[in-house]
Amino acid sequence: MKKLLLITLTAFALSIQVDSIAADYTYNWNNPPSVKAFKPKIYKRSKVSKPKLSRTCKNAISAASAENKKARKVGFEWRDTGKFIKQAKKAGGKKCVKLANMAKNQAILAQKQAISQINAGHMGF
Amino acid sequence: MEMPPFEDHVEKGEKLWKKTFRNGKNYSSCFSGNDKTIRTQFPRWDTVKSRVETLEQAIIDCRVKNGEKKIGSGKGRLAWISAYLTTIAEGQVINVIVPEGDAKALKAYKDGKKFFYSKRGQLNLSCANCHVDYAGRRIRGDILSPALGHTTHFPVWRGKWAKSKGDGFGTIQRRYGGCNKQVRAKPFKRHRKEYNNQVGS
Ligand code: HEC
Repeated sequence: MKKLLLITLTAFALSIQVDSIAADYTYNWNNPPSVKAFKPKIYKRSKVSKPKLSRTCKNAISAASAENKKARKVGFEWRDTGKFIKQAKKAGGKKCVKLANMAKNQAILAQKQAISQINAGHMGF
Repeated sequence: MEMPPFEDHVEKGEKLWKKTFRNGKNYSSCFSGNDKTIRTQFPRWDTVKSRVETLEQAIIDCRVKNGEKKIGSGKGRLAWISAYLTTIAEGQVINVIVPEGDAKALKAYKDGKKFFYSKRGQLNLSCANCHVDYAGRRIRGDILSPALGHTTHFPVWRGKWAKSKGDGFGTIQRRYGGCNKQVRAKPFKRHRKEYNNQVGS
């Protein structure tokens, strides 16, 4: 019943559409608009070079990844830590270090959180 | 006039459930008892594999056992089938039993409990903080539900899930992922011990 209703309504709606399109647009079959006008412009793909990561940036990233791995292992990884690490790699430069350090801090806090919750679920906790 | 948005998919779930596999068998052959009672048998402790078995996992296992492909883990066809089984089981009791004297089962239960009471994520909140301490209170536009009984009425149709992608259906483990994310904790993979123990506890 529901389906029938939906189909009927859709068909009705479509038929109105077709009517209104036909009313204000007439295609001239004898003198069609030139096809060239519709040819899409093709842009050459320019190479996006990856930022070359500095030593400090690389170090900051691997430190953050190592800490986050520990947080994951104890089951307390935070949602955005991995995202920050990814963004750091993309950004490069000063921003890279900033983001990687942010990720590292999160990962360390997550590990602390795991320890703080060791007795969770016990009476009186 | 408002029509229940989930009706079609529960019907689809029924059709899928009743379809025979290519080897001539069907889903029912993997389960014991009347179809109407299947939902009430899960989650349960699987003594052979020493793990919590959920209904959704059992449906996937049944397909694999009969040479069919796996289907999704938290939505889509799997959720529709599960929703159908839940619908025909309405009104019955789900009683999760931790077998006495089984140390592994007890550990799974305790792990699930610990998970539930552990604060996690950047917001430092546990499931219990929201679904026990603040059950019945408002959090933005939502009224927090009490955890007791969460497992009984899933899968559900949810407006948010209908908006993004898909048909709005999701299993309980899909919801767990969302509840982890909203406290800014990284969600766990579905059908692994973290969420399975959670369902069983
Ligand atoms: C920040 C508070 C918060 C935390 C922490 C939280 N949830 Fe939720 N949860 C919600 C809100 C809000 C909803 C939607 C309203 C509702 O149904 O309670 C919800 C819904 C649910 C639902 C669906 C209930 C239903 O009947 O549709 C389940 C199941 C659930 N949460 C489980 C969990 C689990 C398991 C955890 C821990 C991993 C958890 N939640 C942590 C806020 C939270």
